[in-house]
Amino acid sequence: MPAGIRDKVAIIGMGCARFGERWDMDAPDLMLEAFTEALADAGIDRDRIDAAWLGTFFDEQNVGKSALPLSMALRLPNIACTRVENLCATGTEALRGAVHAVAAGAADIALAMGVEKLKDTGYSGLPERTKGTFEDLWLPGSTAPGAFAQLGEAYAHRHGIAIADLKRAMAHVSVKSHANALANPKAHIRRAITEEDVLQAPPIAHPLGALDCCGVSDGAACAIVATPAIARELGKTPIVTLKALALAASNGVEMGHASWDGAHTPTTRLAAARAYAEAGLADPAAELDLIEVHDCFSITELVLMEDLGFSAPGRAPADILDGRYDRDGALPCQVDGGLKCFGHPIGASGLRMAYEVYLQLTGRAGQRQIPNARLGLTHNLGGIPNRNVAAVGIFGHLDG
Amino acid sequence: MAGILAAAVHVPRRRLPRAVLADAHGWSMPPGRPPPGARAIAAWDEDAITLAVAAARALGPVAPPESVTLASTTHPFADRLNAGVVAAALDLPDHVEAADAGGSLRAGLTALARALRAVRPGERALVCAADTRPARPGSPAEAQIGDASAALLVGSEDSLADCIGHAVVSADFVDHYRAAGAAADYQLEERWVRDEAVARLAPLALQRLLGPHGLTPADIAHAALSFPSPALARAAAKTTGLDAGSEAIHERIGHAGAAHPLVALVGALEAARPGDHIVVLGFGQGVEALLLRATDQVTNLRPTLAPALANGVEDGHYTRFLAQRGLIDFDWGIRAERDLRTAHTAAWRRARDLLAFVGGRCPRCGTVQFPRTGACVNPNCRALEPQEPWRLADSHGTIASFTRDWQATHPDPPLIYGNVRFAEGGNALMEFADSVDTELAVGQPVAFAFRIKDRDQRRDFTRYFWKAVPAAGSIA
Repeated sequence: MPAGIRDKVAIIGMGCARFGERWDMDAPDLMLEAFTEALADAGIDRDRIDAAWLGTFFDEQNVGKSALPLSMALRLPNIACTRVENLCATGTEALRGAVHAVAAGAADIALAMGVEKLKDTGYSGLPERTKGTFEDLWLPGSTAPGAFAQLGEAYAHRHGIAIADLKRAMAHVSVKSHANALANPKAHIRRAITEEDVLQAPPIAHPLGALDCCGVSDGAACAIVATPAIARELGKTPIVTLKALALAASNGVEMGHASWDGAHTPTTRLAAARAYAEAGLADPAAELDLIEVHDCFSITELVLMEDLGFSAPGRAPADILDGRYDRDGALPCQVDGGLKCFGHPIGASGLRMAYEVYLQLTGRAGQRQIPNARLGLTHNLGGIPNRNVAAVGIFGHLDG
Repeated sequence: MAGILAAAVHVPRRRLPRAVLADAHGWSMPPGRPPPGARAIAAWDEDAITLAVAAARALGPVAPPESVTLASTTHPFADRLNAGVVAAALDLPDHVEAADAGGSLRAGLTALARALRAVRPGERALVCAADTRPARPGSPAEAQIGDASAALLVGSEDSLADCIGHAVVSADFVDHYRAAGAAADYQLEERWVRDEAVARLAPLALQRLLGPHGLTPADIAHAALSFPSPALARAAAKTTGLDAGSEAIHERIGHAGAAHPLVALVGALEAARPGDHIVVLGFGQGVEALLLRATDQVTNLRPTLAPALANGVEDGHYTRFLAQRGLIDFDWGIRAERDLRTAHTAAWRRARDLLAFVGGRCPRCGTVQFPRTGACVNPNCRALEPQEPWRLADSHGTIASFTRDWQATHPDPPLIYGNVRFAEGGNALMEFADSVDTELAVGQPVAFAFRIKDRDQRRDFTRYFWKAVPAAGSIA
């Protein structure tokens, strides 16, 4: 077993742009907005950054290929810059690059930036894109909502739940996230909704309606990570460290083997198990103070509660309706409003999740503050249920 | 003596009632009763190639043919062998000869006659005919035309009906015409066609056909008449002395173009008893005639026309029909702007996967998977070994998940797709066809159909693949 990264890397600063339809901002502008906040938070000179990772997905929509857009937007001092992409898990992937560099001793201080400028397409929803020369010839022309929507019928069938009842639990997921975002000035959507609003919203892809789907937004978020020694030297208190950062990638089983039931993400279960082991969590549901998961669609969050081990199989709908994951529940989920209210600028989301956890762990989450927050989890899912990368991050205090 | 070994038709699921057309166009004509019945309309993802494949597959398990012919006046390609695509979809070996036939509304009959003459003892010929003929909105043809196909397997052993005669009266009679590339037919007055073509040529063709056998029209138990309208078919019957029989095909499907003679023949075969004489008359720049005699095997024919006449789903969405045919400049939305350029090198490399729905089978653990790769998908195997080709087209599946996607751009919204589990194992994410007005449920059985995947409008290239269709009997 590798030694791992637990407590080897500290976050010394983070920034997050205001997510939304930033018609007057392009990707470099968004990067600067997040970076200036992070730099000020870290309290270091820009030239102390040894290496940088750029996470962005739609390069043809956004900025060009390579990590040059990051180096040029921030005028970094000709350091090593790398672009990474892992579909919607890109943000966490960028963080992982920076964290590994510091853990390996290849960098003392590293930057991870996630950015996505989605609102230059001129139409709603994610941009149309090719899936590949062969795959375009046989895969259905699915959209993101359609791909995730399939979890609905499969989950209902697997656990013997009526779709109408499932939709009520899904609605609660969205209602809860909207309520949380009211306290977040950086969220795109800050508007209270009711269960009825969600159930009556126009259909997008059965069983998802418009309010079961996260928005399409522009945004950027970044993290500056360093060794715990540097964090101490900078006077950081408390020192937030990575306890684990685990990934698991599909290898085709869900796409092509009959063993997948269509109602869960095996990759999440694997990544979570690895993360909990590395972080030393015996009872994650009890030990975690908050969770930020990949709620691209309400049904996704519902399924993830079981995949992350917080609800027993088939019990997520009941737990959700009981308020277990509400702000004042046993395990607050999407305290910042989630993808639902921030939207999903693909490259940025994983880092936006980390941003909320970081603020909570440093006691700076203002109205959203969870008392005594010491341990937080982020879950970032790139792809679709049929093939995806799951990334689970666990953040805590150096001495906790 | 060559004969028919197997026969089947395929008719698209939807039927556009003629009353809907009359209602839409009523403003342009004096009040009157609309013609009865409905016409079959191909789905957006059906064309003459897919219809032909469907009819050929409806034959059921048959001995493989040495040749395939696709007769049509609406071949999707003027230069890309359409019958070759049919052969690929049927996964026929590469020594099979494929050829297209066309040019007239009797092209299906011409192709059948040629196959009957040319097929060698011990060999078989597959003759397919299919048409999705265009018509201008408001034209009589719009209501008369129906989209359909037929497939007949021809050979010399164990036939359902033997061919015992063939005759033709050729005549460049322009009752209607369609120039190459034209959007619709130009149709002349039916009374003139009736008096100068049908009344003169049909009796002459029948006489040439029956004379050498000493038969009269009274000896003919079933007449399969292919004339562009019911009135012309009645005129043919009256002037030849043949029994016109039922007008059900015209009434519930329409005139199926180059396929009509063969569709009518299938109808005659379904009604025939051993020993019955059958005459097929096909009209189109002359009259062509075929004489057959049903054998004892004819009662073994599994009906495909009778169910098609009885079933079919009424569809009154006329503007949807017009939009899908490009007859109105419908706004399909910005997502439809996506460029669908084909990487032909990739398409050729994977031709068998795509056209014949062939996946792979791991030689080590036997797991069937799509697509075929060099690495087994079974998590307990994952062998890095080339897989054996495994055809999935004739398999069945069940729905493991599904959704109706309204965000996706699609000619017949919503786009419906889901995970389909194959009976022999494995699964694939597939589009569902013929499912917009169908109840779907996890666990529901599906069969597979060869359909248009999409069309690159910019470069006029149609791409084909297989889709899941809720199995017969599960349609709500």
